[in-house]
Amino acid sequence: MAEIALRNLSVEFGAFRAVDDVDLTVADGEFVVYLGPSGCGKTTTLRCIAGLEHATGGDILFDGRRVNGLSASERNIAMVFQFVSLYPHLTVKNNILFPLQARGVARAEMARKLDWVVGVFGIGDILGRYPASLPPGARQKVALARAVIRDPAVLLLDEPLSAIDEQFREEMRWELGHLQRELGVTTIYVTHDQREAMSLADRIVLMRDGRIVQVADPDGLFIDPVDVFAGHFIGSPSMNFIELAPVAGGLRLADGPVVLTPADGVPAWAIESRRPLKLGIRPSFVHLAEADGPGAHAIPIEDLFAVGRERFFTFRLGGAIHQGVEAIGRAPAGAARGVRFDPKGFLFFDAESGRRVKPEAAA
Amino acid sequence: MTAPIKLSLQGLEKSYRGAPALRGLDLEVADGEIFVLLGPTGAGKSSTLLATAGLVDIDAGRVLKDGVDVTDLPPGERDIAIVFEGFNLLPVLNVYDNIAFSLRSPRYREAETEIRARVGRTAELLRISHLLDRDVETLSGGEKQRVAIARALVRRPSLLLLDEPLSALDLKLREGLRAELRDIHRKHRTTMLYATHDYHGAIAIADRIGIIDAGVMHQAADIQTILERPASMLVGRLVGSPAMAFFEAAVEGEEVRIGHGGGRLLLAGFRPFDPPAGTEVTLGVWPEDILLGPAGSLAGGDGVIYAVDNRGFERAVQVEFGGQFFRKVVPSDVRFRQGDAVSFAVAPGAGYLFDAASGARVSHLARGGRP
Repeated sequence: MAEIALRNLSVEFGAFRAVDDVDLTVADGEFVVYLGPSGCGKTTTLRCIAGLEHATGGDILFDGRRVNGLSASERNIAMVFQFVSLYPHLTVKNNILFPLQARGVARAEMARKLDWVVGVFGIGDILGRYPASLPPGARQKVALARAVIRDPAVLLLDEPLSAIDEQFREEMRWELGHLQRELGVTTIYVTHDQREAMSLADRIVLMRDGRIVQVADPDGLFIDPVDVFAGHFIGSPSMNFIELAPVAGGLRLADGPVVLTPADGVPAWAIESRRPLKLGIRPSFVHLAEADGPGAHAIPIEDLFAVGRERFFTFRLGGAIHQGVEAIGRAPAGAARGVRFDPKGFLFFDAESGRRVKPEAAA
Repeated sequence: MTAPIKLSLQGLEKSYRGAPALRGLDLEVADGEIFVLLGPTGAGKSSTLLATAGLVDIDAGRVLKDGVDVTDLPPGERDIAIVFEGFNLLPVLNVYDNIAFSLRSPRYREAETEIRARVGRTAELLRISHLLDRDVETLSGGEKQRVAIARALVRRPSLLLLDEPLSALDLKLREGLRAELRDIHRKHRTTMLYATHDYHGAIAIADRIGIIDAGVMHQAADIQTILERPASMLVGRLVGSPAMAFFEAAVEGEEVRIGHGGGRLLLAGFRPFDPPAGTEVTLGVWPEDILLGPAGSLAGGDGVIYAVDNRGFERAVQVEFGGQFFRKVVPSDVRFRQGDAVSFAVAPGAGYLFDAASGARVSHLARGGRP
């Protein structure tokens, strides 16, 4: 296992910069997830670390040692792809032992390693089976066991769950999170699915257009997004974004009748800000309220439905549909005709650049 | 149900090359409701929709629409529209002509002025007015799916069938289109039968949900009723987020003992409870009703945190105890880590008892012993 560092990494395909000046250090044993929409450069970055793609600029360091010139097989990486490639004519056991046999590892050492992965992965009862007879989740587990049995410097995973049927995918996600922490292997994982990233990662690297948008642990990315893209990409149901216009003593929402004032918890700096702002607020910070209750705004509720112990509702501001979620115990009993915004959830963004605006930068 | 019945499926049976897909499926959809068929892959959802539309021949059973038997009518005469996962658009036509296609068919043959008005209104509803001149091949997945829905809606079908209409789209597009579908439904009261394997997608759109598996309907009700009175263990497994937790259990006198030292509950909380003598029971509990704390803090069972699933605004944890698992959402300020020792207890008055063999609920019975 190793620490992996990228220094000013760039990959150009002709005039197109797939990866643009990326810096990142992945600690020994850390689980880092590259997240972003398709074409953002996450897979190209992974392939560079694997040695399957040439960096056109910058360095790739394994434990401080530059590996740019080494081939994939010389880097001691293990890679698992979307589509599992197990040898169909070998049993599970022989599939897993294959990388060790290929290196001429001693028999006793192989037995010891096999015991270890069988224990961690809980696959003792399928060792004699052939891959074709296994469900997809089990096949993916075997592929992972084969990948880690030879102590790779880093485990690279390229959308490993996306080809698995949705009902097995969630199971496999739980397993993968558990196994990575049991193994303690440095892991770099690529996905476009924010749920997977949030669930699995120690840190998430959010990418867009070949560049890093934000690097943070899942909580940091969720609570403190650097821009509208990050706020929108993370979280379901999605963050609500509402255009703001400054008026005397407050901020008007989406050119409508509703004005937020300091009584709603809007900070003075946001009202006095000279640049046009956009409010970002997650649905869990939007509450149902009686129209004349404290802090309530008379915004008609369009749709309201209860599920279990939560109520979901939608409302419209300036044509856009927004969403709120409320625990049922907290909601007013009668028909709600208004909305209250919890100022703890207020995030302000520059309406033009989309960058997050904080008080120190607002002046 | 006070609304008239729009669709009634009675005892549908269908096999493909000897493999049964539908095994006596019953279903009633009320006029103006969104009914969601929720079940895993291979449960029979698509077969149900295809049989309703008349696109496959059923082996047995009847399809009634507005009280009229349409079992033997060809698809074109049923006034039912269907939207698939794969868009089914005509690649040689632009967006406008795709939407207008069915209105120009011999069956409708509407005047072009009427077509223009209706395509315009439908496009506005689905926010694709700006795309009408585009070739469908140049559209994104979300745009294509909107066009496919517009094409189905434009002829104002009395029943709209949607087969996993959003599953090819990414999460954000799904959320948006789901809101649009509910919006359309509010404005037009189009009756919709919607098939999905996604619990979150189902509860976000459904008036009522039908839990389907192995070609049989297991429970059809609004989600609140399903959560309060789950008909079987299978329903518990397919509903909830996370799904229901199950514990080995035994009834001992006036108490229910939970296996692996999980504690005891009063049987009084499960009445009316009257299973046949000798029935082995399993305790099912919604995860919200399981209390979880540090080791030694609760007088129930002991377990270990097996894995943690961060969801941003909350966390779910998987707890291992005595070789079994359950999963539960905990508030985001509760920081359990993998490997932490924990204790748990089932909240008094919570949980259901199921027949361990058949899976049917045997506690909280209604009068006459029915679940």
